[in-house]
Amino acid sequence: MTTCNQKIGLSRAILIALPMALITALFLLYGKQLSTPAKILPALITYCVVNATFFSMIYTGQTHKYRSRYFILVSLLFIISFIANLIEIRGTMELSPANMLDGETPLCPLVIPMLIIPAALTNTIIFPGSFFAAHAGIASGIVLWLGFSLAVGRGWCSWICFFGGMDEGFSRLCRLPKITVIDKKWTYLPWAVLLGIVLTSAATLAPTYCAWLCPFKTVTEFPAIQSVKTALQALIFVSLFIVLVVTLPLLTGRRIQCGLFCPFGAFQSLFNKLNVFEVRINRAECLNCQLCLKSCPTFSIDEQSLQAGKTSLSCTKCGKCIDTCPKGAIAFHIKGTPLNVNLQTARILFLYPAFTFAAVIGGGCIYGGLERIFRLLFTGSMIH
Amino acid sequence: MRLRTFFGYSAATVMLIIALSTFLGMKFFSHKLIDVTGLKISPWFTGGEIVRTIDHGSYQTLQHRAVFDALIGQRSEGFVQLDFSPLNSLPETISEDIDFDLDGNMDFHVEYNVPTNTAKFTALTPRAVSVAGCYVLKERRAVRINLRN
Repeated sequence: MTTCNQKIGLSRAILIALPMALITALFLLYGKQLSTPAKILPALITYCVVNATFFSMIYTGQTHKYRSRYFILVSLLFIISFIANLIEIRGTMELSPANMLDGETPLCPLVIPMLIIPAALTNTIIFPGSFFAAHAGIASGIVLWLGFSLAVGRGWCSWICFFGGMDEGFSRLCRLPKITVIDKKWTYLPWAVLLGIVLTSAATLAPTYCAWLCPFKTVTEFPAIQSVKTALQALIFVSLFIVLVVTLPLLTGRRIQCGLFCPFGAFQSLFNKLNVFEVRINRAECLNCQLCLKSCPTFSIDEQSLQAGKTSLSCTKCGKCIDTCPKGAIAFHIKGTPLNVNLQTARILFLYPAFTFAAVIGGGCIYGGLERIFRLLFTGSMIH
Repeated sequence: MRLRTFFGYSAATVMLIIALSTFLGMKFFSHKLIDVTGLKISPWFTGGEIVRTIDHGSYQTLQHRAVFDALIGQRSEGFVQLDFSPLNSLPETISEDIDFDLDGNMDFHVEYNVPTNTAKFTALTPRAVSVAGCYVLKERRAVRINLRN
């Protein structure tokens, strides 16, 4: 039987990967001012890493293995580039009230669910940024989110979310999970958090998740600690980061923040309904070994969904279950097309849009981080 | 069945076109999005529209509208923002009497000290409450005064 994660011939793999090499050359290299070695080298390395990752996925048939490494690298280099940018512009990682009045906050995609009700009722965006800022402007952020959500649905969480890579990185450090049983009830928590933050943000006209609950403030920007309130906020951010992004993924081998807390992830799940790509399980081939259920990083396969032959709404299309299945009974599938037919075609048609986003957004983060590292090597400082 | 299959594969191909156009048309779509929806940044962050400019010759005081905006209706508490610019022409102390509701009566007096970024405040009506904050911005200084609606 043909499975979707089979190795294919070298020349066929080169042919399939070639368009991606051209797409990434257009978006990652074309028009860039590559005047010094500190800019040329990161650009070339980025281009090679991006295309080596895509080629490996196509050639070996393994999706998760290479996506995951790339995803973690993007996340690490995003942190380096983001923090270096902040220090260069503001001199600190702190976000002061003056920065907010100046509209200097880069748009974080996690804020998007909180923007919708106030935008609909007051025609205003409750975020202290600028629409057309050169770096992460609100308008371009919304366009990117819309484009991705239509094209790949909740794939966001495994293909371009630079925060998800941190969670994934720590979960991959876990060799033998210390916690193996997690009650299914916990999978409703992201929906509760989503409902809570959407309502409180609408009521207060301020993004409450960013102000109180975002673990990633710890490694990006956080409110300047000037009062008991801001000190408490900082304490919550650091505690959530340590518990949800570091400790629990290390103990469970799963993406706990992404699967059991992140309200944006829950929100993105809704786009899986609209999106044409899904992951299906061939019941006729399934051994019921439940390896997929045990390995799913975001708890998107349970006994019920296994019986139904598909992943649940929260599936991030990371491909781990597909790589893990010993019978190759799990595959990417295009809605409306017959099951268990043309599995390779469905996989490639999914990988192209998903990896185009991953290459452009992730490639930007890799370049940004490498450029800072090379600047450090060449000049002794990461910032100007 | 064949029609569904055709639509399935066509939709999957369209997803790649969406991915490419998202990046190729980013600038166009971003501007169009804001033009079409008329979205603005919340006045709780920007301070709201400027309703009055007080010209002092070498510098200006820009008075924003009072912000009481709520999701529906108005809040009982809000603020008014005053901007002082240009930065390099500001005197050491700026004194202003402000009529925030534009009813012809002054509501508060504020004295802003530029070097220390502090402000003294005197309420002239019960609706003006206190200084909410003083801010050193990129191209201006700003003061926010808490108000009661």
